[in-house]
Amino acid sequence: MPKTRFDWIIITALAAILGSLWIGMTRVQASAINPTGRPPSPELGFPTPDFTLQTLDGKAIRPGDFAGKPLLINFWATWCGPCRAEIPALELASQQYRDRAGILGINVQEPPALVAPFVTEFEMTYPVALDAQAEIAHAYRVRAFPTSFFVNAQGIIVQIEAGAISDALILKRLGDLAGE
Amino acid sequence: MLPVLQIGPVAVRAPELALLAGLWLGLEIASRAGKRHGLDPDRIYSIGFWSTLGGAVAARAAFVWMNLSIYQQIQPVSRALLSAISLSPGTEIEWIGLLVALLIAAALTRRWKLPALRLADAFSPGLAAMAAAVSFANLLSGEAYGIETSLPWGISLWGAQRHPIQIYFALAFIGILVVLWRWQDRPNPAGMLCQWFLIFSGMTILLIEPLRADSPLVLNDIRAPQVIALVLVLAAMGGFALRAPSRAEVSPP
Repeated sequence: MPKTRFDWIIITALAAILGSLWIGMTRVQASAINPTGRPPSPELGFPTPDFTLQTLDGKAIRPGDFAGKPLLINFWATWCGPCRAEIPALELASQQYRDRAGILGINVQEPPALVAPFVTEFEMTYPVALDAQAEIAHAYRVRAFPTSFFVNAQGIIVQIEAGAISDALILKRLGDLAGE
Repeated sequence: MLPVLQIGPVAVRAPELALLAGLWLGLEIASRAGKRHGLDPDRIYSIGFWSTLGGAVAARAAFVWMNLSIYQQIQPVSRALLSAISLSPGTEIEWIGLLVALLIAAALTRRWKLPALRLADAFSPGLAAMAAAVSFANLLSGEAYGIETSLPWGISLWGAQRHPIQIYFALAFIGILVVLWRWQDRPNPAGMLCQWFLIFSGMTILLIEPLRADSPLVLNDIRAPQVIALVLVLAAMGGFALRAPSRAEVSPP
């Protein structure tokens, strides 16, 4: 153990130099910061995996349809209480950022006959796609409902939220991604 | 990773549950440590509780204040209010919460005329326990995850085998807790345990953070937690320098 003040000052100065060198040596590599060129994967910093699903009105929809705009992909089910609680905020965000961001609801493993009246009852105007076999939910490794993927305008996943999120968080994140 | 415990129709966020358990455990350890330092355990509980509560409320209130326009868009007003007080995280300004928590702790310490350095010593093992709980909560939520590895103890997370750095951090902080708990009975000058806590914690972050894949960055590519950790380590070592006798005082005339 250092005994005198001078010893401690020398050791502190050495720690400052070595610590700074260590921080410099272990800084994040540029390739890790910019993930362009990585294969699509449902994880932070990776491009969104592509898929094509049918909406309730029979149209084909894919994440690429929202290219150039931030996108919120929300996996949900009618039986899930937190999903229902989130829908008014998603609808509000959809109205608020109509031209600047997209919202894509993906209903998992429920028949159109159940989903359609629900969509009408909750006045959902953003696109709702049907993942009847839960293939996309599995591909996105969804473990809980609701799960939301925030995707930036470059198609990179920037945030994943499992479980219900507050209205303010939805509006704030989409607003930030839309450049407000 | 277990972000949500689905119990029938009720979805419980497991990471937040782990954080609450960590807060309780940390306060319990701090109050027991305080007793050994001759401090009233109830006072320690009160300081920890009110600081945490005040910090959490301030962090949320600051976010609401700075994003008032967002809350004004939410209709009806009752829903906006519910959103403002929602227990789901993500809408906080952490540094304001931390600042307010420290101010509340300082104010209560002054009001109850408690010895600040002894109090810091008492809180140190508790803070180590809370840090371990935060790491465990990160493991449950999948946050603060490690870089890819082919080592046999890598865990499968976000589509790859990764360093389980949440477990590395948790084990390191449990180790710090054990060391600090044992050192309590030594005849330490007031504040010394807290200094060691800062040095050990800072070294832990400096060494393990490079294995993290999603570190917050400053100046483009520098890991912010490492910078904060180095500052804490140097501050604690500076404290030892101030406390140590000069050469003239040590050597005989």
